[in-house]
Amino acid sequence: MKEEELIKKWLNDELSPEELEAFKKLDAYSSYVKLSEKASHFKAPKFNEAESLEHLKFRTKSKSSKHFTSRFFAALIAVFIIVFAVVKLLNKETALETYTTEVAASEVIHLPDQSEINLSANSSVSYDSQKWSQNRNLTLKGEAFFKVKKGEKFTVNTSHGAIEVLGTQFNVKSRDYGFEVTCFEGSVGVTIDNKQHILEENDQLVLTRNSVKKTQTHFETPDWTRNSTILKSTPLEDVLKEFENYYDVDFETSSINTSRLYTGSFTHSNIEIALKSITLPLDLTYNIKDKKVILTNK
Amino acid sequence: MKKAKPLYENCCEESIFSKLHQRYAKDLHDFIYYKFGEQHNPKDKVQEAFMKLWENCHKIIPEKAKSFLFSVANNTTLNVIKHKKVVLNYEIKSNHKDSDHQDPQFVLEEKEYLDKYQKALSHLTEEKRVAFLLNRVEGKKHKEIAELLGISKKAVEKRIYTALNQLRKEVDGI
Repeated sequence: MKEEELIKKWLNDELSPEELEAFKKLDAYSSYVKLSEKASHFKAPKFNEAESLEHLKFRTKSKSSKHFTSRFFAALIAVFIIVFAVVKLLNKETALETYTTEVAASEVIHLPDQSEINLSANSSVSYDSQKWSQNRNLTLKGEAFFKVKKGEKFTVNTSHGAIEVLGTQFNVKSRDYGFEVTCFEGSVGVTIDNKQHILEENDQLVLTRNSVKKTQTHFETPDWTRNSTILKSTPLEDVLKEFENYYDVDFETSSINTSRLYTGSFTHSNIEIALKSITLPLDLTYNIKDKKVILTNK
Repeated sequence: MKKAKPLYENCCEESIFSKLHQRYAKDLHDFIYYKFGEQHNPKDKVQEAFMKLWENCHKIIPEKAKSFLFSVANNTTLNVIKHKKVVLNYEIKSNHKDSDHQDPQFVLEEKEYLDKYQKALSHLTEEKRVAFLLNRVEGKKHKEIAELLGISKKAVEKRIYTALNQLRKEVDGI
């Protein structure tokens, strides 16, 4: 047997008695044995296992609170994800899209069927984008100008009544103080208290204090898209509420009669000119303090 | 055949952690000591490695803990040193129970021999020194060392054998 083999076997305590004899006959036998024996002098220092574990336990205890918090956060995040997913899922069923404009702002909204809503100031519109292809149905608060592509029935619901069209251009103003529908193209059906009114091109329907009036318009687009509001025989208090949609102000009117009727228009782009065009015909003066406008008799 | 699912999926259980410590702490300590010597405080390295194991316990199945511990201890030590010469301490042990009756001649020869031995050991590569000392001093079988170091039994055999030969040549001055 080769010397190397013998040594390797000896190193692993695998020598048979005969092999051991052969190993003992090697020249270097004694120096191998000596090296092996003396190796024990270099033994690693005693390792105290119990002490090490004790020490570790102490250290892990001080860290385990961190473990707990990280686990706690993981759980928290998981809960959030689940809630988010559920909310998202529920939303999918209604998928209510809502657009809202601030005072003095406006927004153009493109609907899935390429119809267009031009939303005026201080208004909101919402619709179900998921069901839009089967059901063109939306809810409006405030004022908006609609350009509807031809197709299935298109319905605008307001607190005053519903407007049904097939494909036209029309404006709806639905405020707390009044309701106004103007047809600019095609024809529009307006239902108020189960009673239907048909508007043709340039017809305007105005609901004030429960009386329905039909008038005509000579414009091709609604007044507000041209940055002004046109009013006919409207009580001053409603005029001022309309005014507040386009300017971020409040009116102080305690010293004047707000039931007087006003006919005229005001611009949306300059508050001084707008106030003058309201106050001058009514023989009033105005005073602006911060966001408050005080109206008094001359 | 489908591999059996491990009984424990991580080491976060305290009983598992203690078991792992009981099984590997000493070997880990010896491994670091023989490889890098005492100046790098093998005990601290053991602590560090086990702390790392605890911090990452949820990611590590017990079967992988050993290689994780050895890698961490090895790497953290390597980060500190760049292959400094390793000098292992020795004690002169007496065969006599009564140390007062030591033969001065014997003590001197012993010291001379061990000095040479110490120097020769420091000349070995880390790999050979670890394998050799685990085998000769700690009495570990080739197979056990192979498992600890994650290498083959043949490689262990070769390392120990060449270490022995190299030591003999240097100590005997051949």
